[in-house]
Amino acid sequence: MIKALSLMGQLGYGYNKNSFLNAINEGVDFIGVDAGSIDSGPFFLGSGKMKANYGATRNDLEFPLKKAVELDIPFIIGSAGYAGSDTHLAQVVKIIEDIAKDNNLHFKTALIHSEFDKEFLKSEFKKGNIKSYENNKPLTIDDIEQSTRIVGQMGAEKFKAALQNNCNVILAGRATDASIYAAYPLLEGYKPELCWHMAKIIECGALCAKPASPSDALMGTIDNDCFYLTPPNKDRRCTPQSAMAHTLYENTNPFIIEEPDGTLILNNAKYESFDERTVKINGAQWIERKKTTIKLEGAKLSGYRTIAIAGIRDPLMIEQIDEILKDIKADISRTFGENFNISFKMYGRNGVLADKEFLNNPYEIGLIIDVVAHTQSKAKQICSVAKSALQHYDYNNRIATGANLAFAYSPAEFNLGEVYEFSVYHILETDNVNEHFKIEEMEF
Amino acid sequence: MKLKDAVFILRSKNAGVWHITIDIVFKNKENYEQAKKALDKELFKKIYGKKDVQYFGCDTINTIKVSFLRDKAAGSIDDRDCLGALQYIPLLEVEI
Repeated sequence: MIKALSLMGQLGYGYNKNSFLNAINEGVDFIGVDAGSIDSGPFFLGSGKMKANYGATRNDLEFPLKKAVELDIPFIIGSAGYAGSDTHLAQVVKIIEDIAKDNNLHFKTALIHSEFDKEFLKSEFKKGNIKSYENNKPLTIDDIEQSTRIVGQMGAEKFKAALQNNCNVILAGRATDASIYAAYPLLEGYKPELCWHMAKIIECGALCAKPASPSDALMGTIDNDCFYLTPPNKDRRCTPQSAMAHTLYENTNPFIIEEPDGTLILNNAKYESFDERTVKINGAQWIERKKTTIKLEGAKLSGYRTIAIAGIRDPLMIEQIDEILKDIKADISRTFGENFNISFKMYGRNGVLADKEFLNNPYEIGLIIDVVAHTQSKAKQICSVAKSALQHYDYNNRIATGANLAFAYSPAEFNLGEVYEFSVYHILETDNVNEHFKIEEMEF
Repeated sequence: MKLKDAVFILRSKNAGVWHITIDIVFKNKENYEQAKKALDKELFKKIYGKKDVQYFGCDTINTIKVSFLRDKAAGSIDDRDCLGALQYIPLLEVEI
């Protein structure tokens, strides 16, 4: 049996030290943690910034890393620094280096790079090896060129190679969440359908438990014919229902999960209660892919954003708000031309659902005037003009001729800096693609 | 019965950058079977304004799952729900 500990669902959210120690006392073969995602949007990949900062990341890594080194068990981190590019890796390496130095720890680390060379991708694109993902827009050469950086989600192969090289700590760039946890039991010879199915569920930590939490640990125990899930925190439990529901999470298809190395098929998966807090699972199928396929992720700079926040409360103005904003927008276009984007988000009216909102009876609107332009100063200028035009807009039957908007802040405009957009989210299918994920070994 | 009263999970979330996926896990077989009649593929197409949606009835777990392309990529300039987490709201009051 192999005991895999998922420290938490996302590095930097704060982990539960008691749960961690419970698991360690019970015995653990390796520790894994997922540090990244694409969920929080394109900013982190585009800008090269980490989502969880130095302090938050170090807080979650320091004690578990010390324990792993002390017990001589592998500690595997995937999607370092959130987006997993080289600059993200470098920032996490600095944290690990500082932890090693301050605690007088010595260990071997494998860095697995996941950033792809644009020239290589352009040539693969020309060969027709980069495809759309479930009907999203086809890629263009411009998308590749304009991306600030492009990463690929690695599968389990390079994790396995790093484990075989006896690296204590593996710090991977962008990786599929499941690969972090599948590599070790695969190397030990466990059935791939069990390895991948378990990995896919435990990568979110205790999110598959009741009560759910991404900031708590989950233990996966793999045997020859099944695997078990148990939360080390005694206040949580895993049930067939909670585990099944989690298998659906964030996948378009409830029965099929695509990984770079193959396809996990869940039609015949069986979930049963083993004890009060443990669920026993088996029955999935795994079909190994002949050629590894890699999901590519890229983001490009699309401008600079300034917003203003304003409260609208006058019923007469709320009644006419659509026409008023249309008029303001037309006015702004006449003054500034076309080379920017202005939008109005009306929280309290249809701020969340926009054209899919089905209720319409607001008494108050939290308005965000949102401008993205090619420079910060242009965005600020346009936002200020729009705000001022709205502030003094003379709508029909207006009796309040002071000003139309309530500002909670002075100044009312906020410069939000660079705005990135996803430019690449496509599938690369080419020979020997795993060779593009380079391993770099470091000794601390 | 309203959908919100028939389920113990009704959620939406991104599945990657381009897709929204909705999980509807019913409290029991009876609710699930009743809902399958009312909540067909066409209804989701209409509510979300889509030409096509992927629709799955998962009989063994009393779950309906629906996935479709987003209007805009997650986090793009005009996107309002970066995680896709509130796109289940139009389903709450649907009669099944």
